[in-house]
Amino acid sequence: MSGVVEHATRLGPHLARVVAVEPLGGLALVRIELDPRTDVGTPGQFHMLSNPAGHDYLPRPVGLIQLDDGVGFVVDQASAASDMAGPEIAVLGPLGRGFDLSETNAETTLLVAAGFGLTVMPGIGRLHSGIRLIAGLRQADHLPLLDHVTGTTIDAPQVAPDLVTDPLIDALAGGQYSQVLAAGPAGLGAAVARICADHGVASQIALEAPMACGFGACNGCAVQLDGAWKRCCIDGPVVDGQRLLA
Amino acid sequence: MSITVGRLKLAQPLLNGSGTWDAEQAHRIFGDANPGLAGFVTKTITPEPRAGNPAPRIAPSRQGLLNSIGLPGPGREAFLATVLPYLRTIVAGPIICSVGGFSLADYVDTVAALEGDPACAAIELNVSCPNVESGCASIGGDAGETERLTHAARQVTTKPLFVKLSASVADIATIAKAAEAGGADALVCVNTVKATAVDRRTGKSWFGGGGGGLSGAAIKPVALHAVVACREVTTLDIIGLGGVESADDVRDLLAAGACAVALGTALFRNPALAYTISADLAP
Ligand SMILES: Cc1cc2nc3c(=O)[nH]c(=O)nc-3n(C[C@H](O)[C@H](O)[C@H](O)COP(=O)(O)OP(=O)(O)OC[C@H]3O[C@@H](n4cnc5c(N)ncnc54)[C@H](O)[C@@H]3O)c2cc1C
Ligand SMILES: Cc1cc2nc3c(=O)[nH]c(=O)nc-3n(C[C@H](O)[C@H](O)[C@H](O)COP(=O)(O)O)c2cc1C
Ligand code: FES
Repeated sequence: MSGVVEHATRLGPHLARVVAVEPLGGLALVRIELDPRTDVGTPGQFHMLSNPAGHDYLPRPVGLIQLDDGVGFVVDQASAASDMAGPEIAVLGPLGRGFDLSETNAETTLLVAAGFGLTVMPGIGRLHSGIRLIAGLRQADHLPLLDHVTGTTIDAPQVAPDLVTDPLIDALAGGQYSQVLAAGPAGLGAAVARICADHGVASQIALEAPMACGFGACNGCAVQLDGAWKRCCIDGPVVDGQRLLA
Repeated sequence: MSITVGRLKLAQPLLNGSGTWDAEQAHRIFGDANPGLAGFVTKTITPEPRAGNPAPRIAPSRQGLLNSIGLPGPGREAFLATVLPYLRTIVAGPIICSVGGFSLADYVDTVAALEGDPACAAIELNVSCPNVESGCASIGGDAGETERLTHAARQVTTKPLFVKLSASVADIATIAKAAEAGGADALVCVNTVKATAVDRRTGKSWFGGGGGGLSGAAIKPVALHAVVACREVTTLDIIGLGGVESADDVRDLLAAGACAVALGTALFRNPALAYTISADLAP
């Protein structure tokens, strides 16, 4: 039977210890200590998180945020207060396709992110210090989140209803950028991909979709790619922006 | 503990529920196509390729999951030409092919096509999917149609033939008897329970494809009732499923009269669950 237990531990989610829950306006940063067998993954990949003692029946996809002094994740405060704050959180991953950073550099790559998509960006900022980020916030009180988006140079953030796409159009008009990496809620991705295509600029977009499993088993995370329904968790979440335009 | 269910030999009693596990992706991501499972039950195969329902397809529910996936898949021809041969190279144990459709001929043609393929060890007729417009659940909701379909499938296959039932019917026992009369080797109880979510802003279905089915812990008592009701009226072997997430859930379904048990929604939270349950079941 020990073989069976070994397999269960190898494949299954691993428990992370919740170290601290810090309010960030209407959001919360949950700092965790990952089990050594869990990898943070590459920017754009995600993990399925569940609280073994919580009420949520399904795990939820969350992008871990690479902090200067550890790892964490960001959720809305209501979730942090109820379901997503331990003492332990089960973490499965990393899952999905992250950004292809082979052509990325701070001079010719521009980042665009809004909402939880912002949590992807410090992972890129660590690799390409000073890279420019156009940031969008759902509410002004989410501003403290930007303190953790380190390594990037952030333009004055756009707060809803102002759109990140307006400064994006201005930035691309300068002709400096050959690539845009974007992450954010549904709607943002297609808009960014369209603007990039119009400017002849390549784009990679991290999509969000409701997910039940995160590893291709449920077919629940349908997104339109190349004009057909595809599974966001295995075809994405990061996709070539052209695939959103078919 | 090796067992036989409907003439199919299994090394142990745990399987997956159709449509809740993708062996190909699991092999790529976890390096294990069917971790801890005695075999693999495929996603329901339809005659033609299907895109599935528009998004949104899932919604959380207390102690459960609502889904309206709509049977996306490559269709019979591609399944036989590429999917099944590949599955045979990665899956440990027998492959059970779940068959769906919209008319009797749809099912019979697929069953006949699978008959000649040794990679398919057994056939499960899905007459209980709540998320497609016609066929499937409307067949499984009617005893006469269930018997006719099972009988027609029986004529074209010698493989073990399972019939997967819905609890969203007036009397599951009469459907079970109809499947037995049609020549089924085993019953699979249960598919998702008809249920839905509404968009609270519009009052319309939350799902892009309408419909909906409930799975997960919330339906375990429904699954237990279905197994007990079928056990009372047939001698067929029963694969029990619905909300199983622990060794005790497995024990309950076995005690109620099932001889094998399948895991579904609970695998989403823990893809290694079958290993954990096997360890807990060990004497
Ligand atoms: C790759 C990826 C990374 C992500 N990263 C993060 C992250 O870092 N942090 C984070 O918090 N989230 C992240 N998410 C999103 C996250 O998985 C959840 O969707 C999010 O936390 C909201 O969860 P919820 O349970 O509160 O809402 P859900 O219950 O999932 O609902 C989602 C939305 O649908 C609406 N809705 C649901 N049902 C109905 C109904 N019946 N009628 C009307 N409206 C309805 C809700 O109001 C809500 O706006 C990520 C998602 C992906 C795919
Ligand atoms: C996302 C999802 C997809 C499913 N797809 C199928 C399917 O294609 N064919 C089928 O017979 N059952 C399908 N089912 C039903 C399951 O096989 C199972 O009968 C049901 O979910 C109850 O078990 P559970 O509560 O353990 O999930 C699906 C269930 C879910 C949740
Ligand atoms: S979340 Fe289950 S298939 Fe993508």
